[in-house]
Amino acid sequence: MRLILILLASSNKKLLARWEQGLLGFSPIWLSTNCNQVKDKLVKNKPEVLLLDYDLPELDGADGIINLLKFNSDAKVVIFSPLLADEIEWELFRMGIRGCCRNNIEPEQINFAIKAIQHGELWIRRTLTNFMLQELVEVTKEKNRIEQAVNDLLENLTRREYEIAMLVGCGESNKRIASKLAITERTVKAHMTEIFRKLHISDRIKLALMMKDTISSLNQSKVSDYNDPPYFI
Amino acid sequence: VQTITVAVVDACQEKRVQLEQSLQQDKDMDAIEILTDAISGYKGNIERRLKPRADLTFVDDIVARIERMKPRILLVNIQIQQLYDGFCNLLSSLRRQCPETLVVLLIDEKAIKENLLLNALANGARGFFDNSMVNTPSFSKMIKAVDQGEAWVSRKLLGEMMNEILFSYSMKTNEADFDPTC
Repeated sequence: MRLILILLASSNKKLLARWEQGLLGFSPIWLSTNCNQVKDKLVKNKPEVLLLDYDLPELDGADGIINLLKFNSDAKVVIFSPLLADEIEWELFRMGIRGCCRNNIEPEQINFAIKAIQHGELWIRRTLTNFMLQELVEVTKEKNRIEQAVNDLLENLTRREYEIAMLVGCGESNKRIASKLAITERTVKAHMTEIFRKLHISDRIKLALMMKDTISSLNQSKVSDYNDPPYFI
Repeated sequence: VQTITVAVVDACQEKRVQLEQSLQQDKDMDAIEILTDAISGYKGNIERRLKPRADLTFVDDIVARIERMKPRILLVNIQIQQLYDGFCNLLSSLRRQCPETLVVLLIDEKAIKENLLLNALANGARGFFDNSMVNTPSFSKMIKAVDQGEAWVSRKLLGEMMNEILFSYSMKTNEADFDPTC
């Protein structure tokens, strides 16, 4: 069995005892009883999983959790709390935690939760999935809106400018672009100036990011060329 | 107990009727009512249904019927290749025009890739249910959970959904200074 590095962060003896019961078979495990120790161990020990007591002294709720996540963004955080309002709990997931359990969770459930999040799953109450679905739809709508706006702007480019923009999106240098298109580097630069002006951007990195999305959606549309069948209700 | 109304969509008319019948006979389906399109009948109207109508796309057609039937839950029986772009148009149209109807896709879970499922969820699907599980007690459990607003997806897929949401947040930060719509 692969070892999972776990950090426990709580000063509540009852909760710690419950965690230890649930974590039989896992090792190594470190313990922190205050916020500063947690930050320190997140950096030095690089735990894969952090079990965090929502009432840890000096944690300061959601703001404190965001702050902790900055010290080791790879650590998968599971919060243990009394019953929280749905909105508060969902906000914690939006910050990047991977699980949220009640303080009185059965020890064997803790074991399941850790294994699940190690497999990329989310340990979340089913009632919160409604928030997740709504958010996913919203971020997708926003992504599509930006993609559409980018496409509208790209339509202003000439064929040559578009070609050059695509090559920038693939990470090519001006020199390589010049060589590929059999033009001089100076001409490439002139095209680039015009591309920046038309797309309202100021540098190559932004252009590359912009084109990266276009390239990936073009690649996706190549495999999703499908005609809908009729449906019956 | 309030009845939960359910309608079925299928690319195959025969399969749809079979599914409706099997659901109606299911003993676990207390408080669940299967809606059928009374006007459409079945065999008598099949030719009319197959006839392409220039003034109505298939998405418009379905949306119009769902607007009329107003089911709480719409089960869409879908084949793997239908999960591509065109199908998502149906989901987003239903989301816009029939926001009270929650769409669940009936699929063959093993045969469908995660990214396609994620795409369907991003366009408004509320969950997935394996075709082979339709006549089991989990089916009515799923209907009741979805009616309560819950997603019916695996924990693994929930993890992927969250990754997608968090990735969008990070992209938003990166793109904020060149969002051409701002």
